[in-house]
Amino acid sequence: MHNAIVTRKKNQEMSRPSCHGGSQEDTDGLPLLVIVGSPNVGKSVLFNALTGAYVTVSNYPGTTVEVSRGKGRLASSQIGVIDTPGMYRLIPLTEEERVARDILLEERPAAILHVTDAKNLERMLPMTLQLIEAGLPVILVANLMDEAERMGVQIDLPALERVLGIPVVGTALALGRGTSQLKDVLATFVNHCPNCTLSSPGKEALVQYHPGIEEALKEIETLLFGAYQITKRTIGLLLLQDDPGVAVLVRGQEGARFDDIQSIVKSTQEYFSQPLAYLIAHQQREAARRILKSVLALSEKRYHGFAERLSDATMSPLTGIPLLLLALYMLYLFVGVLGAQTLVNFLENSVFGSTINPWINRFLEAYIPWKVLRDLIGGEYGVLTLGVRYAVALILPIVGTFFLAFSIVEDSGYLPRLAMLIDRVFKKIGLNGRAVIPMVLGFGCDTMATIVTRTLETRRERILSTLLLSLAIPCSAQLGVMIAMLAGRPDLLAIWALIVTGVFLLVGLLAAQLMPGERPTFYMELPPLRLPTLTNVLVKTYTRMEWYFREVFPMFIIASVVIWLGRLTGAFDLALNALLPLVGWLGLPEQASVAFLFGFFRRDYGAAGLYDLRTAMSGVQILVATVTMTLFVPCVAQFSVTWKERGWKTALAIVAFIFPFAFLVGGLLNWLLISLRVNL
Amino acid sequence: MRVLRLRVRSHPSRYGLRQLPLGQRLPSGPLPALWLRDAAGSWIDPLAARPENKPVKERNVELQGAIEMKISEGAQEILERLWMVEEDGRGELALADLELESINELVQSGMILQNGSFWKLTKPGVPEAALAIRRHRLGERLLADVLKAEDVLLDEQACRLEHVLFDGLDESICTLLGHPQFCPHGKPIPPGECCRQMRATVSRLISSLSELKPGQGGEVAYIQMGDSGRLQKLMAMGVLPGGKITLVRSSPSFVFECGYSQFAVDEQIAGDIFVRLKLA
Repeated sequence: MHNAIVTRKKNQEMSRPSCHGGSQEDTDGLPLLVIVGSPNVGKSVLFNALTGAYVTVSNYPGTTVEVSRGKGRLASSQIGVIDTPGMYRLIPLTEEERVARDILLEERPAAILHVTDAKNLERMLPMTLQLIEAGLPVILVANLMDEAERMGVQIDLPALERVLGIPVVGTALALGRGTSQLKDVLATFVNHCPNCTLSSPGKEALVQYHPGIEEALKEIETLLFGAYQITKRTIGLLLLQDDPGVAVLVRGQEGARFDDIQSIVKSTQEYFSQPLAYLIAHQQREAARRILKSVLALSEKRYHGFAERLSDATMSPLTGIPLLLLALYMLYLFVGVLGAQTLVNFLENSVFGSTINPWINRFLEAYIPWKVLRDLIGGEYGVLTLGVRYAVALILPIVGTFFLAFSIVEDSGYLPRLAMLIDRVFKKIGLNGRAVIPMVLGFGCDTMATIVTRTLETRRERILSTLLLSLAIPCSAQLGVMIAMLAGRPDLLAIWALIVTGVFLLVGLLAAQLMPGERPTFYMELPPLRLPTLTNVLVKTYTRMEWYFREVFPMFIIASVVIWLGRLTGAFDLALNALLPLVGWLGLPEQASVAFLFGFFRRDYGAAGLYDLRTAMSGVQILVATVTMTLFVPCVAQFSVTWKERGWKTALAIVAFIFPFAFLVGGLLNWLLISLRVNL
Repeated sequence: MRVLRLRVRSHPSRYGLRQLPLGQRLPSGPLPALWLRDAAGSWIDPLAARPENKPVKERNVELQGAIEMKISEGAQEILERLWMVEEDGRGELALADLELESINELVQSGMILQNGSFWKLTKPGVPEAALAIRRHRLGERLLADVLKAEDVLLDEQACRLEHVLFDGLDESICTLLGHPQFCPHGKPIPPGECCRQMRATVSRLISSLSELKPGQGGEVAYIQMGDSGRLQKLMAMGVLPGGKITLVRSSPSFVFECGYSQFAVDEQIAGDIFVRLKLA
């Protein structure tokens, strides 16, 4: 078991995707601080504050999907810090929660920082109690104190400290309040209490369970002889609640005694009419309520300010849908008009078109006598004139404006409300409202979004959403280029959007029929709407753009070089000729086959290729080309992430479906428009 | 025979249950119907808790002293067994298992008939069996949700309890529990008249969250244990008995407030949460 966990952890570290600001530093041998807590309470903010690194922080549950490790300093000694995905209880539900829980079980952390939402302490405290019960060195961080105060919730922190017997610190981490106090507490805690673990009897009796459970716990404890990082009482509790990971651990340590333990567990479970996990959770909650009775003062009056009224408005279909359309329109103005048109035009025409490219070409003509080398650097498909131009003039402004706008949306807390609005529609395509988050993220970057599909519960939902992301969700770069292409033609833009939405729903509907499975259930916490902080928005945008560029730039350069090699060897023309019948089936000019060839590298690269052709195509051709390119195969990065997350069979099946399907839809659209004699 | 044998939680400590002797004898004379203790610890009289507009007398509820019974307990047990045999699709019940006296009683009242060596319910027998099953499973719900009895005792206790849930009392308990559709083991409870009527009226004590109006709320009374996945989600959201809960909106999804947090859930999850309404 121990080995299994270690291997899994190592795999985790090796397979780290670098795209959502994750951080993976080697923390071996350092005193470890592990940050745990419910989703969306500010764990990643604390991680960033302690390590000086940046992992993505947003205002919706499930931003962090994997464990991050970083290094920091505490009173001049180095420490390792681990950030974990949100978990509600000590019993893990998802694979990532299991990794986080195993760190608690296996790694002897020097301190566990349980970050909580101060205004919802009653709901969060049971987890603190579980951690104390487990004999772990816990510090309770009552975060979001600013919101608690605004709501009129008063917490007597010293009293809570006395009852719980652990340090309690009140903070508002996002505003930087209490961070230094927390560091001081941490430094003393880590230095003076290196082996607090398991040495604090009495504390673990904070929760008294039903006598039937207590009896079983006592019996189980007498049968546990192995060495565990957590108290035997907690091991017993986890066994009673059917925690598979702990069962394997105990089987490994206890050998034959495990059967006796298992029979105690069985008979206890049979004794009660309700699941033990539920009874135990209920009793932990009652204990929390009892403890907080003397600690918490709630205000009678509900605070109902502008944020609350706006929140209500976003959730009512009557006002929510207009607000959604308004938000989309603003997004269009910012990304589609400012980014994809104004900035792109400026960079394309003024900077590259009339200054840099002619200058490069003149320079090459003058100083480089070999045409082959000149073609590599400049000319029609050169590294600088094509690769760098696409990356800097087309993709940079679009991705930049999109990520900026998107960071603001993310931090406002709007996404969970969108999930709630759309849940019923998504149920029809075999998903639930939770899938809105990866789908919307997909408009930023489908690769990033494919990783986030991990947060979905069933395999069926994960496969369906991966398919839809690969097929019908254009990423920001691609979307921006499309919008730039369709600029000045709102009719085409509307038809394009309708067709792509239609394909999204239709394929979703059919795929859900073909892949039967249990009906997904929807639940999601709606965090308060919050005013995004400028620094987080800027840092997040910067981190994402940096990642995107690190990913995109080499690809664009490599693509340019491959095309150059292909032209040199004649393979380029062969491939173009192979694509010609397909392009002909779509009714597009021959040059469009170049764009589709580019599209194999990255969809946005392909779209950029189409962008260059826009003046040479009719309205119908532009429409057919953009629809086909939108549906066209996922880019190499997205494909490799799909491969990694869903396995090679699913990844290949998705591509095998999408490639002919994109051309089928494009061809049918072309045929339909021509036979109806539509002139666009 | 007419002893109301109920394990009643009479001790303020939550788990005083096990120390109490079995079969507490209730006083004779004017019997205060059934006094139950709810999860919050207060005594409730399910009859007194009936909605005002429904007179208690309506169904001839006479709980003075002995309870009038139409069919003997043995006969009821047979009806229930026949019902369950059919429910599980196991075919017929073998003759040898049954008690002769009760069989005679049922045959005379035309509720069962013999088919070879097996017994089957007749047409008039079916509703009577449904009623018996309903009383049994309502009893189980009551014991499990309100009195929190352990599973091993559930069946035994429910068997005793069902024989007192007569003539309207079953409906009172059904109302009190919010017209549950399934017993704690997940078997369906045949709906009574009250369930049909009460679907329309709002004045019930316990109602599922999905049937509340926005703005209504109260305390979580219990969680329906049908689906372990949904139960886990509810536990994750911290929706547990005793917590305060208010429905904020019911469309396009259900949004409720629990503590200072709002959660959005679909109808299935909302239907699993049963709320003891705050009486205005």
